[in-house]
Amino acid sequence: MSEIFGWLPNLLSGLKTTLLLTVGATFVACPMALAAGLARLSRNPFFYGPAVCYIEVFRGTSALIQLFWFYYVLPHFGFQMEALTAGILVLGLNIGAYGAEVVRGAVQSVPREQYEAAKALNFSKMQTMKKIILPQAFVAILPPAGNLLIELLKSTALVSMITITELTFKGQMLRASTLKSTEIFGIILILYFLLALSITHGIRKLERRFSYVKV
Amino acid sequence: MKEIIFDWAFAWSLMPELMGALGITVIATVLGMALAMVLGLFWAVLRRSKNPVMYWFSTTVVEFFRSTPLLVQIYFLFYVLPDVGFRLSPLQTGVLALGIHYSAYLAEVYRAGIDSVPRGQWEAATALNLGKFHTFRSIIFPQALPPIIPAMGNYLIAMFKDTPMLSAITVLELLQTAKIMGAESFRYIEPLTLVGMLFLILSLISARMIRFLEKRYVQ
Amino acid sequence: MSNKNALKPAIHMQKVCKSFGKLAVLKDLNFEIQPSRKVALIGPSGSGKSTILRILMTLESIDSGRVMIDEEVLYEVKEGAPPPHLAEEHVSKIRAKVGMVFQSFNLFPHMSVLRNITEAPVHVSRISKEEAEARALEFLDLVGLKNKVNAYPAQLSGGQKQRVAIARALAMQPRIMLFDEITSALDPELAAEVLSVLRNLARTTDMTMLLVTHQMHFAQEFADRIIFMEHGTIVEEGSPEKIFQQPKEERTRSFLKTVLEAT
Ligand SMILES: Nc1ncnc2c1ncn2[C@@H]1O[C@H](COP(=O)(O)OP(=O)(O)O)[C@@H](O)[C@H]1O
Ligand SMILES: [Mg+2]
Repeated sequence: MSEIFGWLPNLLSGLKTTLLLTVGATFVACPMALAAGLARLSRNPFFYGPAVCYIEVFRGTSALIQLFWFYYVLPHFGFQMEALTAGILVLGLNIGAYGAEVVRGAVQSVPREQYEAAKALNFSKMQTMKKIILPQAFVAILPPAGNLLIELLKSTALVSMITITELTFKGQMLRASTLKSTEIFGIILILYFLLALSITHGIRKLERRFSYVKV
Repeated sequence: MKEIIFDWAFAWSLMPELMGALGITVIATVLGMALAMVLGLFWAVLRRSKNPVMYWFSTTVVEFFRSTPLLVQIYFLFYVLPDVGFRLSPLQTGVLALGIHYSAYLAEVYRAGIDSVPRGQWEAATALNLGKFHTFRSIIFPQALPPIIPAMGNYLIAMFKDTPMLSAITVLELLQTAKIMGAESFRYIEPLTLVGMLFLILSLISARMIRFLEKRYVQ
Repeated sequence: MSNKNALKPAIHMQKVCKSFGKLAVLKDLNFEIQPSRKVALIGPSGSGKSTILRILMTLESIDSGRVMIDEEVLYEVKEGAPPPHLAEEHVSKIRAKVGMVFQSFNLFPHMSVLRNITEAPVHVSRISKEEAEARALEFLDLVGLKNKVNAYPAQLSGGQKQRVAIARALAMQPRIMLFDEITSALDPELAAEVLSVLRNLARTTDMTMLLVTHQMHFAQEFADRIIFMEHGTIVEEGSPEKIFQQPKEERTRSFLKTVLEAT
């Protein structure tokens, strides 16, 4: 038991990096998802073309391969970046591509009649998007976004493979020095589980806050 | 600077070995999926149990498997199993991890499929005095299948894209092979790009096929 | 306002053709409506009534012909020619004169009743929030729902939703109001409350109103002119007395017979 306390500083510092990765990647993913999701719906090929490429490439290859590619190959093209930057960027871009599909689906789920009502009130296209469509899509986005956030959290473990010292990496180090595999990986799994539970909980709160079907 | 950025000849020379690695990747995916389908069904059945302990247990286990990283689950099995006396090859360990992890997703898929069959169908079957098992096999299951098939296909692709994680426990699948090639030749561009392309092409093709299945089955 | 100049129709459709794919929905349609008139559009379902309203609201384009609102061209398409591009600014200016109430209410579910009504006046007409709210309360009073300002659409009955939708359209102060079967999604007693609001409105404003309905009794007391159409063309039009008591056309008679028997 006391041994576990000895591991704590290591685990906590790993946890901190895991959280940093999750939050950082979320900040990359959200704007990407929104921009690519909306661009995907546009009829203009200059918008949907790049959006389709981005979405298909990042969903069609695996996150780990993207990570290695950014970390080992991009420097050959003159983009040198730190492991942590590469990690945040790749995880964010990866989840953003999935998020784009969520955004697209949610926007499409708003009934056509809402656009018509907005037009009848003479809202501009911009205003219709901003005030009528997106707020309604947002409510449909929240539950799948919660799932994606958990996928993102899980995928942060991957960056341990490009030497970022997050939770899983710390676990590997502790295991190598103590050989207590069951305890260490058990604790780490539980920590991830607790983080995921708090994400689920937070999203549920948001859902309740924003649901407009207040019956 | 007259360095070649992408050496096509070198890339071409890597292809045979990568194809072999692709075989390992496909084997891991297929076996992992088979395990996930069976185990997932087990969770789904437990979750329908009226016994609250069983229900709670299966729900928590599914939730746990689903919301913790596959990579850590792989490490856990890889290091803990030998400690408790199970000697599995890395590939076997990897298949086990994939199967367990994805069984949690498939449990959801089964559940959603079964829930999509209207209650009236159970009631009609009861009214006809069909047995519970018979009802499930001949009335409910055939109706639950159409939404299940494309959803399963999506998880098959997802699992396929997760196999590179097995490189962490030295399984010679695509990514691990590419890494070794990179380390030997000091050129990572070609192997990593090729592997990325292989994944992209295969997932695009399978996504097409699933969309076809969806059109065919979901209506 | 006494601008009842008969030479200046509020709505003017000339030779309008419209089809969806191979289906010709409006065939060479001509009609005009003078300002302040209350007109009821009747006819079997599928005859193109909604399409007319949707064209006037710019929710549909036309294939050929000309549509004018207050003497200004909304659409003008020569047969066979590609539809000319109309400046959004111009269309928006004309659209501001027209308001529409839909069969399915189409309230914004994420906004309170008050915001449903004030959102467009504040952000489109750019009047102050205070003024918009004061005006919204007046219109809510008019439709008998002052006590529901802070409710959300999901908390209202169908009849209440539709009355809010009327208030929302009125708050933009249009010159022309279009009503598309606004009670057909409602139970009879809820429909009655909406119709009574409408009856009041018809008596007290000088807006031009074009109403599609299946309720002949209501059409008769609401409208000062009835247009009967079938298969995308106008079969007969005239005063309610003329259409309901002595229709000239056989088709009008048989339509009225079927509808009146059904109710
Ligand atoms: N967006 C559309 N696409 C294809 N057909 C349409 C569309 N809108 C209306 N229609 C068809 O046009 C015809 C006239 O429709 P509508 O104007 O709604 O008739 P009404 O309101 O008189 O019942 C109907 O046959 C309808 O099915
Ligand atoms: Mg209609």
